[in-house]
Amino acid sequence: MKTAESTVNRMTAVVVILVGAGLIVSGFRLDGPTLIGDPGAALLPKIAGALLVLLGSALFIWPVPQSAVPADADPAGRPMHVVVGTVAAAIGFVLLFAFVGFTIASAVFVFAVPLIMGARRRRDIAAAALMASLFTLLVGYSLYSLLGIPLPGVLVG
Amino acid sequence: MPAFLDLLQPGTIALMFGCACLGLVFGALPGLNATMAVAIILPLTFPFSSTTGIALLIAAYIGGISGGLVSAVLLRIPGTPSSVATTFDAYPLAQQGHAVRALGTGMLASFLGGLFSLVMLMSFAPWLAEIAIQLGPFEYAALTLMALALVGVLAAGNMLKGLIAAVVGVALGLVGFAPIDGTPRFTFGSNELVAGIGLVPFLVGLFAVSQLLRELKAEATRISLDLDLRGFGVSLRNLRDNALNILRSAAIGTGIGIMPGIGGAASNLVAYAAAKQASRQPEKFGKGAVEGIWAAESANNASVGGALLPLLALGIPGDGVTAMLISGFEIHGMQPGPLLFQINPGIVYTVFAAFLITAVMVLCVQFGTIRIFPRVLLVPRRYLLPILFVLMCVGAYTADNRMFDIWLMLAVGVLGYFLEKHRFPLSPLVLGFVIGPLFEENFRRALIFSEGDLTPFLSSPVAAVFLGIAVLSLAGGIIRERRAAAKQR
Repeated sequence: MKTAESTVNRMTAVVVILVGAGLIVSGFRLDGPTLIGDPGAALLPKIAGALLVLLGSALFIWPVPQSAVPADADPAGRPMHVVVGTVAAAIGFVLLFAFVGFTIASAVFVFAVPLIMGARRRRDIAAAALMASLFTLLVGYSLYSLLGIPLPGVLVG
Repeated sequence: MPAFLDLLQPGTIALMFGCACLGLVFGALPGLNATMAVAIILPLTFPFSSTTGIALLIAAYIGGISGGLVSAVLLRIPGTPSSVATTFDAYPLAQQGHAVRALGTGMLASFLGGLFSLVMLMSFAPWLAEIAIQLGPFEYAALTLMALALVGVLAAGNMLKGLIAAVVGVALGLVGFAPIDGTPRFTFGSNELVAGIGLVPFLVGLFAVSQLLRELKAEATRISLDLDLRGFGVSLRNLRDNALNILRSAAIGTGIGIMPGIGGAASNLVAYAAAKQASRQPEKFGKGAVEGIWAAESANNASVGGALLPLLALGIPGDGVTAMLISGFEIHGMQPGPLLFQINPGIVYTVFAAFLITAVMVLCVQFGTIRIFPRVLLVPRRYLLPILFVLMCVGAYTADNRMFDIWLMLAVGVLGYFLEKHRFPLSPLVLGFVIGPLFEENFRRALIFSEGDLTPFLSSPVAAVFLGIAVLSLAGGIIRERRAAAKQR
């Protein structure tokens, strides 16, 4: 467990060091200050970059801090295909939201996700359909008509 | 008084009630929390007046902190990190057949702890703001540096990762126009990034989306409840016997809430430990001791007022939720800090009034639904998760009416998920994001005034004290880590 954590911490440390180095390099490319005494817009990127390189190096050298509070075990639960399917549905929702707007995208998403997550009985599928309809209508009406929030594609409002 | 009367409009009360209930539900459901409740409510406050908008956010905040009690008592699952210590005694007490007593005690403790911190807030915020007005850019730069140092050092469990998270937050805050001279930084040619990373999509992504990802991965647990509850279970004698315990715990909660980056998550544990030490029967703790419930719940609600104190008086958030409240103020054209008391004192009193009204409202709702609310825990996650995700996307979109903000929210959510998975605390990250620009603006302004001379940082007593605290806290943190490492070896 400690070896795995050490490896992950070292990999993270490398990323942190690279980000820090990138900040420092970018800092040198920024324009210099124009006001007397002003260190300029490049100062904080360089300081942040230097700190990240320093802290990342410390994490690389001491990858498993002994005082670390034991973390909760990563919840091992749902099958990977369910997780991947739900994430894909979420991305699909965002794309659909961009093209057809709130109502259709939300209704499809709120109905589809329970099915992806294992709803198989007729009762559960009916509950998903009811939840999708009610939620979409209620939230669309509340946000668009009552609160005047400019949501795209609200069909009932 | 006018602020109090403004909030007593029926429409405003109804909206506050709704937000408080939403906060309670979010606090009660394991995996959700007050931060998510405020994140979702935040963009929805756009259409309202500043008074109403701020009041709604305060209502969701307090509701969320109070809501963690229900699942802590009935399921031994803290609804929020602020209710961890509550489970130690509330669950065993419920298992002994006294669920109502445990719930009733926790509800009253939350109310009293919140009231205590409100009194502290009302007493000290104006005084602190008056002192803060006299602070210049040197003092402010030193103060923000101290806050950053404390946030990183006091991060639970791992100082090194806490400091890395704080600096990463500062780095993310660099995107967009620099203060003072408006130099564009790290925009990568994108028009959307010129304005910087929006606070709303950033916070919603970091706390809410990342938590949704964790909930998605977790196995669905079958929950069963025993809802045969009678009465309220709290006696005047019990209240009198625990008066000192409540006061001590509330004081601890308020004090810890003031410290940037800690909040209710630590206050309930510290207060519990203090109560156990002070108790005449410490052996009863962990087995259903009511003293433990009084301590934990008084402290966690008291930390709300504590966190609001530096926010209102100094413009520095005490925890992740108050960082989001900054966005709430900005949405309505205000900047929290000492000048708020001079330019817009009405909004400060609105916060006080909203706090009081919500505390009373939450107590009444909790007592009234002591047999109903627990049923919310039975809603299957497969229906809840997509609804929450849609609300988060709507919230991120409405911040600036841009699809880009939704994608940004998702990217930050993935970042937050991986950071938490590898034990990088998120509070230092968000506080670095918020405080970093404040530090840069004040530091550069200070050097312009002094024409590049750094000595005023030491010659100003206030700045020197803040810098000293920053250095001492870093040194203390390193010593603490090394001692713990040596002990483990």
